[in-house]
Amino acid sequence: MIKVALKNLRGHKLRTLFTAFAIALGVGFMAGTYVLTDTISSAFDELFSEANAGIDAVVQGAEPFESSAIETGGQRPDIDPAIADLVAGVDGVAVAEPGVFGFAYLLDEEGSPYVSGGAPSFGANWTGTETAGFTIVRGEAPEGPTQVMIDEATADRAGLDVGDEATVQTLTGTFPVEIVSIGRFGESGSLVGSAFVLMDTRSAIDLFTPNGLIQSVYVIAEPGLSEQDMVDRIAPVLPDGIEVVTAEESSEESQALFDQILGFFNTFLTAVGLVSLAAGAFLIYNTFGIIIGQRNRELALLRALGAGRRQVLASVLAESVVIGLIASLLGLVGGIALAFLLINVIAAIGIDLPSTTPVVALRTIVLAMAVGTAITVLSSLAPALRASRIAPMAALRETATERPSRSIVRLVIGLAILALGVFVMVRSVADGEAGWAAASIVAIFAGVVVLGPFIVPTVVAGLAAPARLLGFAGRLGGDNARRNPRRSAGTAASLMLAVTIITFIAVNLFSFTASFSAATDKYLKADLEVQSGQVPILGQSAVEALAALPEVRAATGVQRGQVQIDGTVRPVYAVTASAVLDIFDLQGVEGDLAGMGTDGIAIDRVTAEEQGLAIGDTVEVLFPDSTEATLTVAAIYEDGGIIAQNSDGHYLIDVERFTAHFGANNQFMARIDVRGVDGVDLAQLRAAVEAELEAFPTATVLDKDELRDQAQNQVLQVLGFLFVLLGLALVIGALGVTITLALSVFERTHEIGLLRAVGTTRGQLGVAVLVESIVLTLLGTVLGLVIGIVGAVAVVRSQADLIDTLQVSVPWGFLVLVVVIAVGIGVAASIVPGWRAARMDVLEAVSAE
Amino acid sequence: MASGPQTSAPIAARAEQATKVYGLGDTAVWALNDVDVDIEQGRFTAIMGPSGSGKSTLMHCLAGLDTLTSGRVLIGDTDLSTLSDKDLTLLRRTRIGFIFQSFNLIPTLTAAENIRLPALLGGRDQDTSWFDSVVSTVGLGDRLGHRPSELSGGQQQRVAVARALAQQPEIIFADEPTGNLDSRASSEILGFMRSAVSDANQTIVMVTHEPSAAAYADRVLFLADGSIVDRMDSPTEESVLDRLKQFGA
Repeated sequence: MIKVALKNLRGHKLRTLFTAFAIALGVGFMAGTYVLTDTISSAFDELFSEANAGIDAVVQGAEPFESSAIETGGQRPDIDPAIADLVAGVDGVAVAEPGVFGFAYLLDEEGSPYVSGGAPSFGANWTGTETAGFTIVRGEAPEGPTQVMIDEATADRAGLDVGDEATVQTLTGTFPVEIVSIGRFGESGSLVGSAFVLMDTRSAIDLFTPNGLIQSVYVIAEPGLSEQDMVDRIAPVLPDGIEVVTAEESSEESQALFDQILGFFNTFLTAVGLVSLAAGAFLIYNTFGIIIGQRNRELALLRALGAGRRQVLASVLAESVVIGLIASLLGLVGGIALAFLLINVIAAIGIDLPSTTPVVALRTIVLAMAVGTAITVLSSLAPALRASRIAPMAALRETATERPSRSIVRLVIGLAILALGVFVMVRSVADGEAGWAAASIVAIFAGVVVLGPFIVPTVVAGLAAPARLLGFAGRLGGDNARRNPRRSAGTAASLMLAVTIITFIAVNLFSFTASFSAATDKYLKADLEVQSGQVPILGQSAVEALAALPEVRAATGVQRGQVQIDGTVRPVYAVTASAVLDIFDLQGVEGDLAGMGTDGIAIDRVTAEEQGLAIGDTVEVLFPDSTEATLTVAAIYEDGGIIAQNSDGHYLIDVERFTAHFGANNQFMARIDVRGVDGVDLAQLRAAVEAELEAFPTATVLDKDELRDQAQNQVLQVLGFLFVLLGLALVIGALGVTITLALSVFERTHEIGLLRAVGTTRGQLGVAVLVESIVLTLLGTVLGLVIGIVGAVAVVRSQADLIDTLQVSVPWGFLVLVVVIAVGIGVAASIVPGWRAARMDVLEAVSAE
Repeated sequence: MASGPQTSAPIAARAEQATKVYGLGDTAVWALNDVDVDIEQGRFTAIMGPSGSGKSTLMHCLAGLDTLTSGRVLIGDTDLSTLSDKDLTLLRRTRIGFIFQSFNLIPTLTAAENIRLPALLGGRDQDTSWFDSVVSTVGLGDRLGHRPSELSGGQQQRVAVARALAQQPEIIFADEPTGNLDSRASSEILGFMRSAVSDANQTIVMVTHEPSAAAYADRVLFLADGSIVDRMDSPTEESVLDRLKQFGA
């Protein structure tokens, strides 16, 4: 029986290949993701070790509580430069050099940073020893506040060399420099595309960090001492709040943060891969179902000749195991190739990885093969069971085609799942449970899939109605799409999945943008917003400079970090307290927010009630630099969503308090909001602000309209990106339509022969197949649109209590585009089957047995 | 024995030196070997012969479903070998009617739509009074809204006959039209075909291997090994059976 299965595969090479391809796409995406992230991770692993090569220990600020590095970018406190001298005095320490690390951008004559693609640019100190991590390729060591060393990769890319002049922008402003040397970082020359500007230690402290502190002390031991020896000797002399770790531990810490970021990336891409695999699973299920239906007689004959049920089952499953293995292998190889290509593309656009050998972990291979094969076999299980239940008598019956199954059991189960989904959705909207609202979509989707055969006839009749305009051939195509509802439903399922997800995300994003716009109108009193963009260089000094302008009534930046309040880690936002009420409308404030000063703290109403706090109560706050402070609740505000873009409970403190306890690299503003004095002309205000920001050439100034446009554009970019990724699932959907049509055309050989005999032209047959194809793709698209829109609206509405400017916005234009693309897919999917139908030999078709 | 043009009656279809060869060289099979035949208008012609005699090939070539290796086929004055696939298709749609042994109907269409199929394909309106008369002749009045799966085998063939007649084509080709029917249904179908020729001057060519069916025809052509070996006018079931016995078929 296994032989029969293998013969079947060989006998239908094209079909086997198509089916395998659907699974291979998903597997390939997953495998490629793993290879890519593993490769990047291993490259960085190497880099972080390189950065600490030759160093034995690192002295750094100790974190008093664990903060989320993803949220804050790391909150290790800065330390006093004098610590370096203290450590240098420890017995056995050969070298102890301060380590300065901040943001520093090298700008061209127009004021644009030389780094491209949003890569960061760092400022560090040149110590003249191995602790710098750099070696001089050519030129002299930088000395004084106007001399810099830059990294070789940036120099090559920007066409800069020793003796050239440039501008450097940091959190403290811009200043002119002369390039006196070109350096090389470790082995690779640059740190994965990021740029470096090095100055001598004194100048680096003055210019790269706004607080005059350093980030670490790098220690080299005298010969014969181990890393651990160094840690043991240094630890006792360090004051509270400062710790020493081995170089290895330090590398691991950097790596851990990076891997966490990479992990999100990996999870996201794996999810996309899984969506493709789910689409592939629908395709396999449907294709096997159709094939089993068509082979009904053959299988019944085998049964009549004495094959057991188990043998039939085994034969069909064997076929799926082979397809699954082939598909997984294809996917694995394709994925590795794709990752390799991407790594080279990344390298080509200037992000140098130290090593570009793809890392193919055993885990990747096992996972790809297992997931691909398992999904294939599981998807074919139901059709295989159906095959094993074929009675031997069926061999004797006249018709051998699949009987549409529209059993009562299916109806009951489908309605139950759908009802459950709708119930959960309605409840979760009422209760404000966005997570449950999202989960209910899965149930509704599953319900619609199960009910497909019942829904299809009506929906298809509606979709196919316009095809009658194409004449009788159009009508034939529409009828054909309706004649086997289960097949049509199964074929449409892959596309439905992709369209549901795309629509769901699109409606959510557009609603978010609309809500943001409404919030901007309602809560933002500022006239202009200054953004630092991808270059984090706006510091408190910029806020103060803007606030001092005669045209400006108030200005505040917004910084965020994490602190521990009464024992719990909480997000905290720093604003200029005296200005905040002029800039933001917090919908009612109890207490004195403007005057809270450095000893006050403000809380949103929900959190205050949760914590049982009232004006005048005190909270114990632990800052990243280990300072403990007792702050008094000075104000309770109704709605701070405009400041804290997440809706969790949050706290406001004055920027002065924040600056005192957070590291230099935490002290930049993502944005500064500026309000003009009453009656000031917007253009005049803008001119004044822009003039003041001349020292920050990378900053952009936006008014409210531009802010809204910006949000809209960002959403469109995200959507475009998602569309490309989910395009994979769309391709699988198209493949599914092609396979179904090809199988249907084959099945209707007699019918096509008859049609041709009585005068149907090839063109008319082509039109019929085209219409059937478009109707099938539209079926999946329309159902997906409906579920996606309903689901997204539910999720958005469920947040009505949290966001009072909530808007539901359905991007009709975008959704029309989805429909147009679906029609395009329908056209493409019909080409091969349509061609085969039109070219069918009339005589053979008429006389075929 | 050659059978060239013998009468002066108008000719509905004609094969001239029709030759059809399958395969090449030693393995070549001569399905038709230099056949000349005229199908007279307004007559019911049956083609008989043992399996592999070329009777189906001859009919397929006459009907424009298959092409000759050499020679030519005319429908009326139209030389089929000069037509493109599209023109041939339009010719089949407008000038030829077909009745096959099985799979005669489109399962998604009702009986009425199946009858009107060629007209629907051409986007033309059916002559209603003729349609009604055909439908009442074959006795399908109450079945017109049904789909093929809801009709018996005999009813399905009646729909097929009605479809062929409804177009008032120049010529109808029937390929074993009663091959799948019981004797009662068979005689009904053959009766409709007979009266279409007698009463409405229709031209019908039928391939059959049943002497009882051939007896409904005006003339029987006997084929063997790709050639016409005999013909018989005004056949009866007995005379056809006798003739077949002579061939030792």
